[in-house]
Amino acid sequence: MDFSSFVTGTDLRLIAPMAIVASMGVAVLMLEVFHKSDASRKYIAWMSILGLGVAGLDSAYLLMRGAQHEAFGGMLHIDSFALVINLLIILAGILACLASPAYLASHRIDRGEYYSLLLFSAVGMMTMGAAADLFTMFMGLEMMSIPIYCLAAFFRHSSRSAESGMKYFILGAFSSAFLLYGIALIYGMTGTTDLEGIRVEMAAGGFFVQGNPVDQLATLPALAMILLIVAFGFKVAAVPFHMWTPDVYEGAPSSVVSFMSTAVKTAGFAALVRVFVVGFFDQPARLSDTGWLVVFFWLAILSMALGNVVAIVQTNVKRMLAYSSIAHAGYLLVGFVAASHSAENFEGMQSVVFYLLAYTFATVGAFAVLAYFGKRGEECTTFDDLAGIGTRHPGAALAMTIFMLSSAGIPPTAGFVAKFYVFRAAVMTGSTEFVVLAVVGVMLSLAGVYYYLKLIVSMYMKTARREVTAIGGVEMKMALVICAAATLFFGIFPSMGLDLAKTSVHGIIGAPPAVKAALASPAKATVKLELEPTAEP
Amino acid sequence: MLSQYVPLLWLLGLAGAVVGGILTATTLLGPKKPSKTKNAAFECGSGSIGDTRQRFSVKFYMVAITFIVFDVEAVFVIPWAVVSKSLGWVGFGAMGVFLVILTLGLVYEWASGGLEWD
Repeated sequence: MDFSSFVTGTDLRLIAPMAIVASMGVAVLMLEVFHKSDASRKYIAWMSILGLGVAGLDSAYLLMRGAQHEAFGGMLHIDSFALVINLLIILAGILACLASPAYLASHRIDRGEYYSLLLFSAVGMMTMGAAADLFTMFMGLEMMSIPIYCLAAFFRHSSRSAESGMKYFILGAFSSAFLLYGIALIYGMTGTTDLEGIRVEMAAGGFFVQGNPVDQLATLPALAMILLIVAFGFKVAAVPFHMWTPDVYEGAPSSVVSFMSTAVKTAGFAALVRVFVVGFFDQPARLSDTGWLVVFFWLAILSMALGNVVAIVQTNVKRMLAYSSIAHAGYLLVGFVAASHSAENFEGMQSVVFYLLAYTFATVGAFAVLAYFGKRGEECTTFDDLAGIGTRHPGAALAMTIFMLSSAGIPPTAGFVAKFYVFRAAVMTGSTEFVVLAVVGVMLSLAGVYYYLKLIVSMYMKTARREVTAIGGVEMKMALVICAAATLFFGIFPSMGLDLAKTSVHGIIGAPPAVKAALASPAKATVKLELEPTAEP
Repeated sequence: MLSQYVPLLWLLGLAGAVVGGILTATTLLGPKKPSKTKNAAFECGSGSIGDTRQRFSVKFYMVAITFIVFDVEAVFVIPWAVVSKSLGWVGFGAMGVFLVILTLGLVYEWASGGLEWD
């Protein structure tokens, strides 16, 4: 057998963005270990940014060349979807690296391993975004998660941070087990782990166990899909798999949370699109009573409801943002289910990608502002701590205001456009349930406005109880300026982001033929709203 | 086909019944005369000198992790060595990359003092 065809030059060329980031991660580790222990590690941060930047430029180059390739014998799909997800992850990575050096130095945890772990995690996320096989997906998920567990516990002398890392690790290990069990069941039913192959097998006459059609075992595929939903629901922090989120976000260093709240969610949603749209799009996997569309529909409602309601009573801004990130998972799921409603509506998936873009800027920025205050293991994260910073640190307060407005979905910020397109996708399906879903979503996001504005009120209209120390740092300020500017830019000129999202959605290699055909036909311009109950699943 | 395993099931049930029966019988029938000496924890005749749960030094974990790393290396390298000829230069290159990454990991561990006992 000739194995030389398994790895070709083209394969290596296509994974160059991942390879660059991984090599830089190893290089950073070597830099750290031969580093004089008291000197500043700012250059390590810049090396990481360089690596991520080159990988980002390469992804953009491949994207502009219109790269649509299968790599490594169909284990990875380097298509425009994977490349746009690469860009989003790299963006979150670069912004987190910018926010880190001053923060790490002031909390005396300035170690090069931090950047190394961040880069390795980014490689795993990119693998998830490009995965065309359940095993590549699993490998990417583990590669993403393990460094993140370590990063969550990076305050080595804080028991809070250790608890955060431990909690995330144990629950994350459980969710990985769920994923593996789901993969095993699917492999048992279809005889393949290739996502396209799974769809073909399932469409070709139902589900097979040892050659026998097992209509009576329709619970088996449902069980397998439920297990996968648990695993990915955990990663994107959707209710009811959200328990870890507030504790982990509260204990972990703010600069880490800025990365893990955004990039992990991006990778998780990329995985959802890959697995459920490529693997399980066909009926009855999607539309039966036990179909995944129904499950995600309810997950979306629960996430939006619980996230927004519980966030209201929080006194700690990090916990508030954690619940808000649960709510954002709900909005993203609205876009996801709406786009998966039927092949004709798949165009709506671009709202998810655009939402992720808007969410990345606003959330990395918000956590960067939290990282901006405090020193030596003491973070200033309660509403009282941040009271009155509007007059003392007007720049940071202004940036935070922009991020909060974007999270609340108020124009002219990117968050508004993102929410608009997500709910538009729901309404465009024309089915009553989805219109109700959109209405519920809008109402719950109104509830969300309360706690976002509460922070703004606290910053500008309350007097400070105590003096907060600002960390400063050129890189940190750069991160804040970039996030704020981008949030406004994509709010006022969203077309660039929307075009990017559209390109990504149109280029999913393994997408079902019906979806591809619907995407190829010109987009519907009108909303077909049917108020009569239709023959829905 | 599965019927040949039925005796195993019988054995399992029988073992459970015997153990359960004896334990129940001794609990119900045996005489009970507790005393202070009888209820004390027995440790080879001498009094206990402390908690059995003690914290281990992290050094032991370092040794364990190092062992696992090289164990896994062997798992990959030995099968590769067996078929290295048919894998050709591509296989050689892939294994080279793997070993370089592993070596850099060792360099990291060594240089940051993970191999020193004190």
